[in-house]
Amino acid sequence: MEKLIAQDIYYLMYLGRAFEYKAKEHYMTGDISGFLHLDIGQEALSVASMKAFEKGDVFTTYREHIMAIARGMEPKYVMAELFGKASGVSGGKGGSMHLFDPSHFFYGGDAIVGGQIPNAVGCAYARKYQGNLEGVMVVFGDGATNGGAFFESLNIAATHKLPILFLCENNEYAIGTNIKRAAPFREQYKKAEPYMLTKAVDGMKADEVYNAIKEAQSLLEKGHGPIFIEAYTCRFEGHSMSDANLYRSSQEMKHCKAKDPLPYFKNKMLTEFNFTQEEIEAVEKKADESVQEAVEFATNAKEPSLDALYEHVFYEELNNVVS
Amino acid sequence: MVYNVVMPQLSDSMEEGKLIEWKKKVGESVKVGDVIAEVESDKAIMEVQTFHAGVIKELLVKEGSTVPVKTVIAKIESQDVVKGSQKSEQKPKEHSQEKKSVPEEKKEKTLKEPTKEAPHKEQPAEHKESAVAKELNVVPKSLEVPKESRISPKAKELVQEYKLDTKVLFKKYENETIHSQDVIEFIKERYFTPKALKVLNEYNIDIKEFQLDHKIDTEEINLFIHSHNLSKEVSLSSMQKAIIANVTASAQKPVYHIYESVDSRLLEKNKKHSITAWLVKIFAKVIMKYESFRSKVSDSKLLISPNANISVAVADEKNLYMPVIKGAQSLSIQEISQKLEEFKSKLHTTSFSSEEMSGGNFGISNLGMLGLERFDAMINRDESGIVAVGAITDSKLNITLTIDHSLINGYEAALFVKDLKKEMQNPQNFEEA
Amino acid sequence: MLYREALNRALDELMEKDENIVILGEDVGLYGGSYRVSEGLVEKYGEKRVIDTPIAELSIVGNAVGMAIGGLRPVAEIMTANFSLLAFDQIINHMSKFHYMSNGKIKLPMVVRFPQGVSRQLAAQHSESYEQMLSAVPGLRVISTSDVNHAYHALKKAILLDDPVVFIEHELLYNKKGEVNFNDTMDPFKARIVKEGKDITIVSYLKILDDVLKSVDAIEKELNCNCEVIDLCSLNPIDYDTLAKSIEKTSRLVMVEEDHKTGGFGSQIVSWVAEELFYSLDAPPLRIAGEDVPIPYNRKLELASIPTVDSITQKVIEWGHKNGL
Repeated sequence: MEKLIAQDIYYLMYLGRAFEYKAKEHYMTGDISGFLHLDIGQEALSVASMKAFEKGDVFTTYREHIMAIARGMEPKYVMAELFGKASGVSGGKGGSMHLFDPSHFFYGGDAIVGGQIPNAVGCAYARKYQGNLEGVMVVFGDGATNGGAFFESLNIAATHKLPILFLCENNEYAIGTNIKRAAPFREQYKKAEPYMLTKAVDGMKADEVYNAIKEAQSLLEKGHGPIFIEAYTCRFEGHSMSDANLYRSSQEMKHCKAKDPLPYFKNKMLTEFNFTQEEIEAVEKKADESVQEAVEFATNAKEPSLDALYEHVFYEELNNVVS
Repeated sequence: MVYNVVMPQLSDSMEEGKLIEWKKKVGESVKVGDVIAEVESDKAIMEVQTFHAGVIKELLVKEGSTVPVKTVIAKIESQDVVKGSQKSEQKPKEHSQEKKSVPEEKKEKTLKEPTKEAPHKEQPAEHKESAVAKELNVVPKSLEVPKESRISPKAKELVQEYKLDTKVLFKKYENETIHSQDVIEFIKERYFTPKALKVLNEYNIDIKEFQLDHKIDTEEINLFIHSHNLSKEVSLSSMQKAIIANVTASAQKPVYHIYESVDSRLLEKNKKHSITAWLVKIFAKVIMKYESFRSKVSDSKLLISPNANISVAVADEKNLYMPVIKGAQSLSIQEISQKLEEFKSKLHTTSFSSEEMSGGNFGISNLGMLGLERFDAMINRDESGIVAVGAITDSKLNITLTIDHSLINGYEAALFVKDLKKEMQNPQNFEEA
Repeated sequence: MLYREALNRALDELMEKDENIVILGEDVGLYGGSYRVSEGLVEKYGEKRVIDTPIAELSIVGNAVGMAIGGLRPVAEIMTANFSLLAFDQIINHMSKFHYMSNGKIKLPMVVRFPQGVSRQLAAQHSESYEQMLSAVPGLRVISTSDVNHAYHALKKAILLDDPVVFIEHELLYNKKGEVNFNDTMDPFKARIVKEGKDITIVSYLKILDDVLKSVDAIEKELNCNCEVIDLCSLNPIDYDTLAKSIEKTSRLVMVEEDHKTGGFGSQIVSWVAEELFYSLDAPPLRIAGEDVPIPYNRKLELASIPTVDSITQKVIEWGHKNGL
């Protein structure tokens, strides 16, 4: 990993966490509503995966604020979307769970568990058909690996040797149900083993995630076909804001937080990448300012007009089409 | 700076929360992320963290009490004056200002809007009011439908629109369902004289075109028809349709014309019979000499008739028929005259049978008696030609032959005319047999 | 030309012009399509463009959504309407919503085709109709096609359109004969007035429209009236303008559909008429629809479960007599 990339990853992880705390605060004050799924604790995975897989297309889940930002969307437009404002990345019509930006090859923001996987497979088909092997990365949780869409997708991706990276973020919980109570084993890569190359990494370590995904993408580009990477991680918050997190003991949470990806990577910055404390503080300050700016922007942004209600139901006015 | 802690929204459906327990006391200092209270939402009991460091200044809600989301439940006095926290302290202030100002703005807007519009729309507004008031006065009382009657929504609408006397209407349709057509009939009977109604229907005029507050007579309708230049719609009779088809087909034929004058002295001498009758006789005779004048094309074969079958145009202002005198070459002039008389009488009584109208070889159309000097005619059906007979001038009868070139060529037609001229001067032809 | 040939021709013509158009579905390739709609296309365009999929409807539609995102124009075939239920998550949660949820940033130029309805004794799991559910999903265009010429033009337009379209066919129509007017300038997404009339508006669509047309002579004779028959074609959005014009003229509505009566598609038309055109009516609307039972196997029972030429004729005549015709 290059020094600049390490700095970028730390910046985005720090910014991501600050962003999520601000989102939490503004959920409590009512500026943000609906379902809000915080990514605190999983920043390493969210940031490093996006930085490593920088070329292809990305499909992901509803816990995607940090991924969207790491993918290149400006924090203020993401925050504005959380606030439901017209200048949000989805015009205030998607909300926290539905961030879309095709200009960054980022297609949601899908809130149906496992629903985005077949879409990613289709997109990978399109890319291969177009002769583009940069590939597609689809991110999903351990919960999704128990559904039919997941198995259908493994099967089709392997049959057509599609350039797709399945990235499973295994935080062990499907809302409140531990993976061991929903599947016969903790390691979900075992489900993919018969179909494709698999790998498991520590998702709390940004460098490990980064290297694994970088390697995977280069394999895809050589025409390797589908790859499955499982990253073990831990979310520090409840599933969404309305989850009191009562199914995890304080001991488990303590154990979990001991693996906090931020101090781990900060240490790497100091020791491996030779950053000074001052340099790191400057990065943190810049991130804080960016989040502060995002909140101010979102607060002052305009609500969508009522006309927006009827906009984009359909793309085409029928009269314009000549068959 | 003082930061307000509000009853947090902890789920998408939470509207109020119960304060279960305070985890901090007044005067205690807190740092970001510290739990200061436990709150019960509609889904679970959850911890309330603070996003600001400082000292608890006030706890405003008692344990066990329930307050709406966003109610201030505690105040935290912040101590540090670091830039970041200053910002965040200013922010809630801005924030609350913002919040207040938004509804204010809205209020202003809703208040302003009418006053803004008022100067522009003063008059229309008044108009509107009076129009509304008018409408209110005019709205008919809900229709009372007697038990023994039923009325469709559309019919009901019409009754109210025309403010009809429902007593009479329901009486007329007792024990029936009244449909819109029934109401229209009722309106027509009531507001139009029978004669006017006939014209109305003839011209297919909507009753909505008239102010229905008086009896409307033919004069008023005629006025309407003239001022709107309405065409009268008459559907075509089957005979008219047949004529259109016939002449349209005829117009496709490759024809040429021969303009001639024949000696008429013998015709003028023998006025006991009509010119048409004599011409039938003489044409029949000549036609018998020319096979092509008796031929027609059918299924890519030439059919040649053994007889001279002459069709004769019989017409008045409206109708035109071409009945056929069959085997005219063997009929006497009396018999021919009699046939023509029959045709004329049939014109006004019964229609011609298709048998009488078909099988002709050659046609005669005479308009000379109306003073027409010369005209040309269109060939009837699949006949070979037709002669258009004009007036006599200087002992000459003007005739124009229309000949189907696909059957008869010009040379043959010239021979035919030459023969015809000769026969017109032959006194034997004008003897009564 | 047959209905299925018209569909095939539409696919063929467009695939020849645009290599972004791909077909996917069960047995659409080597087998030639269960109803021969894609016959000959794999030979012409290869397996990369005519893709035989596993029996996994969720993925057929789900992959088509991804293909559309990736820049292709997929035409997905589901073997029969009942199987589309396995893909309803993708159709309703993904296909219909991405454009709106992304505030127009994502568009999905894709078509999902399937036949539906009662054929001959295919029993309850292969005979149903789902337009009532699909037409209720905002963001999906739902097109039904009842006619050879319309099928050709409508499928072409559905493929060329940048919106997701559910394209509904009927098993009994695949061998229907008709002419295609290649120069037709009609808008296949508007309602078609199949027969003009002035006394009754009969609204229908898909295969049962043919039964309506067969019943019209007897109805007109018996009621001494003139029926206007409308083929809705587009079930979402609905061409209310054409309907309103007709109903205002005739003041009577008969709605004929093959799906189950309760919650059936026609209930939308009738409720709209009650809301918007109540004062234009001279008679209560008549709805003729399938019975509220799963479709039985036995032929006699099967026919009793849906409207037929005889039952349509009889019901309209009875209703006409009761209502002033």
